[in-house]
Amino acid sequence: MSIQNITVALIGNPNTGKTSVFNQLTGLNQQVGNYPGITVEKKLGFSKLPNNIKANILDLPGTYSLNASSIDENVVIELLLNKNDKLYPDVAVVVTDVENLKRNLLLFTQIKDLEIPTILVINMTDRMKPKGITLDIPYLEEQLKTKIVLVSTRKGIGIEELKKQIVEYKSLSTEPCLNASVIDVEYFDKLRKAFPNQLLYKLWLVITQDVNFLNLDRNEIRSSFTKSHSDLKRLQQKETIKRYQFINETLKIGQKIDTANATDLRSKLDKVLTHKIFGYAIFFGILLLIFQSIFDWSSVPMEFIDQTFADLAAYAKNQLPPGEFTNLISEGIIPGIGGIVIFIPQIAFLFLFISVLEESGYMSRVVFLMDKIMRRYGLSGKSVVPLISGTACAIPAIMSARNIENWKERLITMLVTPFITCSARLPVYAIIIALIIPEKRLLGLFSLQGATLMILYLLGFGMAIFSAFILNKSLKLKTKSYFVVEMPNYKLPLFKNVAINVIEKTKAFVFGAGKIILALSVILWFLGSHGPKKDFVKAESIVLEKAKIEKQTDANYIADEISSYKLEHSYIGIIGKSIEPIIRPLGYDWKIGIAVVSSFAAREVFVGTLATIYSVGSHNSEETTIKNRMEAEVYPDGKKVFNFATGVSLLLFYAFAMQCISTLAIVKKETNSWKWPLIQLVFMSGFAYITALIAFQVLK
Amino acid sequence: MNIQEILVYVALGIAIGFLGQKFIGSKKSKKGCGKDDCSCH
Repeated sequence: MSIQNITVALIGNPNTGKTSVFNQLTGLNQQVGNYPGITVEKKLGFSKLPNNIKANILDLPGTYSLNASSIDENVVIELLLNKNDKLYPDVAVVVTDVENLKRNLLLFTQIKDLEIPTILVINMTDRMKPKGITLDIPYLEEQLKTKIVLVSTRKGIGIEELKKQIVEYKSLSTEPCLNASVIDVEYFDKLRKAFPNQLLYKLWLVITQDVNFLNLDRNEIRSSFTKSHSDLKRLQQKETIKRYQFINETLKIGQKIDTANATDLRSKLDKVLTHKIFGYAIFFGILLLIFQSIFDWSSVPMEFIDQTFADLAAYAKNQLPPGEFTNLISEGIIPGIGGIVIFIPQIAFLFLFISVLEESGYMSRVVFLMDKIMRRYGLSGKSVVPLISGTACAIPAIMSARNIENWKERLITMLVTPFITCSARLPVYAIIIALIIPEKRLLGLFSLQGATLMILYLLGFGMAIFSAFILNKSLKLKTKSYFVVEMPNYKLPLFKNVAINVIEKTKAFVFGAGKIILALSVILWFLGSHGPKKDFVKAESIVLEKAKIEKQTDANYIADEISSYKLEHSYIGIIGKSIEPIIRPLGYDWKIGIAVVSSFAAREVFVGTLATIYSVGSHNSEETTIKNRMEAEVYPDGKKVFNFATGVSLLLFYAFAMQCISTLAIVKKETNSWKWPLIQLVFMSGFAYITALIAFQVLK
Repeated sequence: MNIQEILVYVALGIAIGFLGQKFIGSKKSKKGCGKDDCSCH
């Protein structure tokens, strides 16, 4: 029997547990991509269902209604209106929260009116008893003309029933909930006459939304049937009122809430967590705890990984036949890859904490708290989301600024987001902090290294806010967009969701940068192991001659001298030396300069690059790990290369510099101009250079 | 030139090719936009 493929779209308001339903339906069978032509993230997974059916499950961006106000909400409408789209769903699953059923049903009635077979999932049903909620399911099914599945993703209840209903989607009614004509009888009569074969509600969406519909020319419909903007708004409001009237009538009988039985811990917690003093103090405390843990808990696995890669490089060198390719593997590829793998524990812990905060509902309170600060400095409340997601990566964060309607607020958000400390900066911070900040504890409790890391995160955030303030003054914002934040219920994070999130994000970090680092390691090793024949080939005889004059007989010293002479006269040495005059005032030698320049491909390349360069230039068997090699680097006068002044200078440079080509590319795409990414590059990198210069000159 | 040197140059070529394609020769895919202009740019 052949396998039947169907497409299922998961739709719902934000914070209804839609992604949890998606995770439980698909497990780890997921892929993340972008919607065609635009850059809103989509998640596609598959689920094997009974009767040999394979369901492609599409997790659409959360939306409150089909009256889209932002580009990511448009994605939902575009898909549901375009039957030509290969992802057009055979069945829509609208996920709702049992505690917010009234508001969530607005979207459900709109989807239903598009005459797509629709299943209503009422999620978080484990909260029904504590909240005193009872539902009359047969009555609700009859009124809403659908099948209802009660789900609790927390308890793993209802997913099998949902799969069963998806299999039987052909038996679902496609009858609409609301007769679209009630919005404006006369107007809809005209529409029906002009387009007798089209669904009225779809036509209405085409008129009111900036979307296309089948092969109809939107301009044609609009020119004949458009009304003034205020008339359309009035009719949209009328539509919403009609829908809520229908929902209220339905829930009056179908849902009973016994408030006497409800226990409300939530409002008590909210009072404390969003308090104007305690709220910030608690958030600050949580941040401190996170950064402490990142350093404390990661140290053992990191040392293990570092040593393993060092052993692996030595093993490869000893076991493989001697030659150029063996050297490439042991001195180039293995140390280069080691330079990224070593940071997996820290990245995983960072995302673990972020996921737990998101899953528990606390992150929405942070957004609410931050909104108060944002507004003072000219950012939209909606800027909070891109800025917080910028801690993972600036690219999706900049894309998420699409939900800011006001162009200037959106532009400012996109321009300042790269200041937020992204996960790619973490490896650079971690290794430099480990080199220059002692492993001491403040008050016997807080690690000095963890506190330094937190200061760097706050510095990035502070700089983003400060730049927004400057931009706001210079761009002269006249209008502001409103911001509504959903306050979900507090809940214990689901282990499965947290685990999937941590695995996905860590994988993206390792494989996204890993390929670039691998390629760069090969090139850097080649450039470090080859050079113009004149000096490079004669390195051995020149150094031996010098040793003879100095009466130096230590074989290890001579071997190291040869390696470092070769490296200095290799292609990479020549390139590095040529940029040294620019970076020398910041306290960097040419090797750090090469690492800084190669970081423009991706910041985390910094450590891998140094690992490769030092690996090529060292013959000391005791300095096998990356940290040891960096620690052992000295200038000819014996002074440490990675001293406090250089370290602080590097930390500040990485905190402020615009060093990510992919981020520049996405800013260009989002602004449709090279002007803004160029301004970003020049301003951020110029500012980074100046602060790093001042820091080094003051501290040296 | 021995086999190890040849392998080094092959690896180097692949690495340069990969980075070149990644940062210079990016392709734009328009598939999935449907027959109509989805007006999403």
